[in-house]
Formats: sequence, structure tokens, C-alpha cells
Amino acid sequence: MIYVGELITDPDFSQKFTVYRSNGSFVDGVWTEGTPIQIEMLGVVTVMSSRELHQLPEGDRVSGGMNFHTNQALYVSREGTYEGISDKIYWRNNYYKLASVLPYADYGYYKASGVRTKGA
Amino acid sequence: MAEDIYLTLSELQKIFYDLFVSMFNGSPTESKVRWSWPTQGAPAFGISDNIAFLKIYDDASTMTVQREDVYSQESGLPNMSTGYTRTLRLDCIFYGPSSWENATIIRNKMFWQEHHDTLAQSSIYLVPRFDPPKRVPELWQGQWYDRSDLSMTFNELVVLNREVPYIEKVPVGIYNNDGLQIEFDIE
Repeated sequence: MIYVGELITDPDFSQKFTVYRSNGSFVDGVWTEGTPIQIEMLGVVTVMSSRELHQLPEGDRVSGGMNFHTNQALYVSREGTYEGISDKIYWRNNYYKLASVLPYADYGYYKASGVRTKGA
Repeated sequence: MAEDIYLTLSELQKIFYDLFVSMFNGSPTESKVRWSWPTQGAPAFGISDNIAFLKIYDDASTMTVQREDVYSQESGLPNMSTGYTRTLRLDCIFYGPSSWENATIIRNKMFWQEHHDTLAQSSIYLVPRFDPPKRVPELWQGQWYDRSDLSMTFNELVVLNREVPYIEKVPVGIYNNDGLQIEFDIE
């Protein structure tokens, strides 16, 4: 099995980003976020989808997404003991909410795709 | 000025959340009752969890058409009070192995006097004619999640007040050929 995890933190490819891990609970039937857990990570950031203009009657919305490759676990929304909503990643002045995670832990890394939350 | 009678969305959510929790005999900290459309998303639930999701919004009805304006004057301030009935639709989606039973329980308990009285404190009244629960299991990732839907409507009294424009005083001047003779205000 080829272990590609060391490429993920190679200084030629990697950069820092911050992961905000959900830390909330249901209050009066509404999911209410607490102070998220902040985790500094190192990994490779690539483009998932371009910044795309959606010209709606109410104004312009902008979508877009990035891929984050790291050797630490990343999560989408989950219920049960560690319930929470998807990790948010702060990278270059934007937050990206994780929409998918590919758990390639056996090969030394995780790949996660996040959508830009600002939407405008 | 008289106080408005109007419930905001968060006030309505709190009233119906507390009502449902009490009908399920649970404590308010339990998360068996949830509101749909969470802004940031929310963790979902397991196939064996019995959970009710609520949605509330305005519904069109003949009751909402009539509006009544009443003028009054309290403490010197003229007031226009507009009263009307707002019809609210509450959609309940029950998930879990007991979803159908839970929907039936809620439908029956809605008619209990104590729940009528709880809602009446907030000027909300059940329209006592609504369909029984509909069982509509959902296929998700290779498994059928049991689901039952129940919808009901409520009439809520709304009273909105506003201070209407008025004349505070009228200055009066009486003139003759020599000019202003008398000046006074009529209040």
C-alpha cells in the first residue's frame, strides 16, 4: 500500500488552514452552535469548483468550493455521541462548509470538499 | 399606547415546542422535538429515533380577511387599534418506529382542555377539523425510515396599535381694523 500522507505536509505543496469543529446542541428544538473547537491544520488545498456567478432576480450570488487534503480527520454533519454539523474551514478570508469527506486514512490522508458559505 | 398582541416567529416556536414536549411527557432539554429549516444545518437522527419536526407559517383563510379598526383616546393620545385573525399552519413530521403512534397521540391530545387553555393564554385556538396522520415512509440509503405527517391550523388574534396623527392645538387670532386684538389657543 502506497502511503502518500507525507506529500500532504510537504512544504512544497502544503499550507495552513483553520478547521472550526461544531460544538452545539439542540435548544428549544433549534440546533444552536456553541463556541466551535479551533484546530490548526496543514494540508494541500486545491479547487473543487470555480467561483461562479448566479445572477438571480434578487441579486448576484456566487458559489464555489475548495478541496482540502490533510492527514487529520475531517467531518461532515453527524448524529450520535459526537453529534455536530459539518466542519468549517477558514482559508484565505473565506469559510468553507464541508459537503463531502473521502476517508483515505489507509493511504495516509483525508480529502474533504467544502462549499463557500458566504454565497455573495 | 395600548400593547400590541402579536407573536413573533421565535415566540410561536417556543409556545409550540413547549406544548409538544409536554404532550410527549418529556423535559424541554430533550431534543425529540425540532424545528425544520435550521439556519446552519443540524445533525440528523438515527432510524430508531422517534423525533417530531415542526414547521409553522401563515395560511390563507376566510378568517384572515376581516379587519376591524377601533379608535380610542387614552392619556390624551389618539390610538387606532387594528384587530384581525391570523391563521397559522403547523406541519408536523414524525420519524421513527413510533411515528404513526406519536402522530395519533398528538392529534388526540390537541383536543384536551389543558392544551386548549395553554394556547388560549397566547390567543391561539385550534381549528378543530384536520385530517388524521398520513403514513409516508421514506427510503434513505437502502432503508425505509418510518414517517407520518400531520397538519393542523390555528387561529390567532392579532391586535396592532398605532398613534394616529392629531391636532394638538389650534392658535386663534381675532383681528379688527387696528390689528390683532386677542390671541389664544384651542387645545
